[in-house]
Amino acid sequence: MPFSKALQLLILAGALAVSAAETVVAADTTVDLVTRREKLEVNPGRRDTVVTLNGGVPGPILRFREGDTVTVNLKNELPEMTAIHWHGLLIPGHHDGAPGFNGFPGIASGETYTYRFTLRQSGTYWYHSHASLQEQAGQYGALIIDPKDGPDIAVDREHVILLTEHTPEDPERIIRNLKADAGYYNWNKRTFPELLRDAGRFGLGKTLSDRAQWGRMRMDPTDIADVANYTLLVNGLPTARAPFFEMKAGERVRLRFINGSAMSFMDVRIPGLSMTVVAADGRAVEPVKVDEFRMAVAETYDVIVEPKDDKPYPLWVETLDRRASLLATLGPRPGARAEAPAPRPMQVLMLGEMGHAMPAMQMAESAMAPSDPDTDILNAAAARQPAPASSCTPEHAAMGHCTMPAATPPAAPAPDCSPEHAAMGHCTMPAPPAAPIDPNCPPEHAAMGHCTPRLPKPEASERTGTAVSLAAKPEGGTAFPRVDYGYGRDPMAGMDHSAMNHGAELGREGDTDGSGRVLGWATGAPYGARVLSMNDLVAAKPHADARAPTRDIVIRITGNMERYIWTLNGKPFGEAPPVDVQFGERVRITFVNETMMAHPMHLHGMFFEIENGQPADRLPEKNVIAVAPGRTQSVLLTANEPGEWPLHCHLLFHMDSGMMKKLIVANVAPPPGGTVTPPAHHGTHGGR
Amino acid sequence: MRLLLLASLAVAAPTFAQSGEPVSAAHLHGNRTLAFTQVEADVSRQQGEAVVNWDAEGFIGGDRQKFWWKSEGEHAASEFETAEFQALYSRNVWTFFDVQAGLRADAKPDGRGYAVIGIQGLAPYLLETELHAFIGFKGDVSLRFKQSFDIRMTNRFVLEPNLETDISFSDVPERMVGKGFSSIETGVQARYEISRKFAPTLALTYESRLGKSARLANAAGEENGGWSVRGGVRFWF
Repeated sequence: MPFSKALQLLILAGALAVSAAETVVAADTTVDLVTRREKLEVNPGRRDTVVTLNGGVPGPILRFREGDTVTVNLKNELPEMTAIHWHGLLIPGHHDGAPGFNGFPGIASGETYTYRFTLRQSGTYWYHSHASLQEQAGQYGALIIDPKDGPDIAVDREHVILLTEHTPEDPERIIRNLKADAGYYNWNKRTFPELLRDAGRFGLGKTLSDRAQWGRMRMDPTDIADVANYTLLVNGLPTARAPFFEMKAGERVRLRFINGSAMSFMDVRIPGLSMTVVAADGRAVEPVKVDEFRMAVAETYDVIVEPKDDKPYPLWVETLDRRASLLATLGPRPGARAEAPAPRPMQVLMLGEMGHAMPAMQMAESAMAPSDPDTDILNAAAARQPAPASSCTPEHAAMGHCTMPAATPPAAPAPDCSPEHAAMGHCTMPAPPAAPIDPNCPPEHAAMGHCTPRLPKPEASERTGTAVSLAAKPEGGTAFPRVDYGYGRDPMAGMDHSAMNHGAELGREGDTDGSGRVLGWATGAPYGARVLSMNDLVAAKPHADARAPTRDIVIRITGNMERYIWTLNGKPFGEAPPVDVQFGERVRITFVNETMMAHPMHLHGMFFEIENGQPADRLPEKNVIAVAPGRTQSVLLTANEPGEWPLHCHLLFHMDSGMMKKLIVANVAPPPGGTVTPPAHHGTHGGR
Repeated sequence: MRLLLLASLAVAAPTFAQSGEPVSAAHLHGNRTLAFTQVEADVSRQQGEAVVNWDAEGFIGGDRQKFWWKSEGEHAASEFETAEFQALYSRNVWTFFDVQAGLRADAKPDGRGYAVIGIQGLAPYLLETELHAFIGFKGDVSLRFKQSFDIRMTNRFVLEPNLETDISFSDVPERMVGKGFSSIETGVQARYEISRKFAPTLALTYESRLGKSARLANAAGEENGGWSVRGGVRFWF
């Protein structure tokens, strides 16, 4: 097939502006993409092999309009199969781009595949390879859809900020290295001298007990991220190329952040500027003012900034493990570079973070009885209803457990803990007497002496990030505040940890250890910072469907870090039965993270609503939800897109290792105990 | 075989795609076949002779099933003192442990074959652990237990205490092996990981025959072993 003129132009453009993203403005509309493996000078002075789209990393920014019918011709000039997935789009299954799903076989080497779909949404999205490990090698790009009726938010300027990581290594080598030695990339393991320093600080007994417990679990508390040697890129540019975004004083600027990395959670801030989050994963949310936010892999956030001064502001991005960072400059003119702030300390995981999921699981199994840990659990909870507002205790409220469908009669009196509640970790111990409900100070915090009143009470109309609940370090407080990103609930919150064998914790969350690491997965943000929590997100508009779910689907996030095997419900993708959901059904999916890492769980084809304690019709819609180590997070899903949809961890090497499930939304009601007839254009049951 | 099968699948996949036949997503996720090889070799001077020891192992396979091979032996005074090879099927049965079964063939000190069954994995407290039983085709039966542990002085400089002991359930006079604990090898190996895949090593090792085996060796005029300092390398790929 001869290249179209547009394609030639794109290739030319890509070749000229090596890795700067070109914008393809599409009307109603055809885009030609070509992917191949070639050498690019991503880092100055070094040519690495990458997978390009139209000659560049990233691929072009695709900009469409809601309502457009889009045709994308993707020519595969790689020697192997490829596939591009349109992340976050509501799309017919066979154009979703996940090989092995909906009969889509992937795009063989040398073939051109034509994707065609009509856009039913607007917002900030992205696209990336869903075949082997090509995404890590550079096959990704931003995808922006403008609303049908003109801009949703009036701004003077906007920038797409696609954050990714570059590695000089072949991703195939990375997975081999991890399988051979899961700690291959971790050069920050605890050492013997550190043991001595910790002993000096916390006492020998406590330190040895801490080391012994980690050793007994055969886990490494310094395993925050699996892969290293990354250079962070913004729109393809590393810090060394001084990335610059124009922005003038007095302007209202929309920044469309996309975490397009394969493996890196990122903390994003613009020191000196507050940011107002207005959309998450493409969906509008009530504005939340923050100083920083954490981006799970594959999330997108739209923020508004309004600089007061004509000066360069640093855009500072750090990975969660603090081993990679990115500095870009936002300012009135190129040239002046902003200063990077001081880097944050590395974290060290706490025993309690890890230990929690296990007892929760034991409870789940004893309470939920069915021996099949998989989709059978589903039926158990048909009767379960969200606790109504009237019976919502303060702890429930604080933990975001109160969804309030007005019409639902009380299912169970809140003080009683139904077995499902217990199993899901929804139960807290009897209420401390008359704890006042301060949204910034959940009772667990209060009980642990974590709370002092936040200094200036924000105006009622203005939402601010609440992940950090303390304005200042209290007397005798920890060096860093406890941070709750809202990445799931702690099933053991409020319980007596010492009674659960977690008594030997080295220090408090937020303390630093003998070598300057800070204890706790989420720690590192300073006191007083307005940090976005998932619990702060409120959908901008009420949902049409706010029904209570009819059943629960429990997805245990499981794995064996030591051997680098990652699974869901204990089974790798190839062996896992699919999750069957009736078309139109509303279900709760509860993720129970039994591992020591955070996993950004992603569902193709639909948005789910995060059960974050906001009103039932205003739960934020997302397609990625991170679940922190040992935590439990539930989402609600209206299964209104028929097809076979991947449900997977968006950490690329986890998915590649098997951390994926097939969720089938079908039109036919399942016979009792039987399977579902999949929708018409499915072709394979590769995952069964 | 499995590798070949997978390779042919990979080659065939595009054909499937062209003919409209769907590819299986299953073999795209969580089903990789990898190869791993690790070699440790060192040199020491024992009783005035240069002694070379090697200990190599590797696998080909996926997360659950692997083909493991192992080889270890000793070369001294321009001849091989011991040389053994194992070929094992290895299956991940418990989270941290594989069960292994297969064959062992010794070329030195004399030619012998064994059936092998055992476990290999990571015990609580991060102890690398192996326990194998050898059932000889000539009727001799023994157990071998190995354990080691990493103490990180820095992230690159690692001290590894290790222990290996053989327990025999038979008398094998030709090999100067008697019933009971027949040999021990223990000590501390220091390694400096220049990269994860390459580290020079320096080990202080005590190796000796024990009990009845020691008496048999003494009677034959052989030394029982003792302390040695061994310099070598460890690499994997």
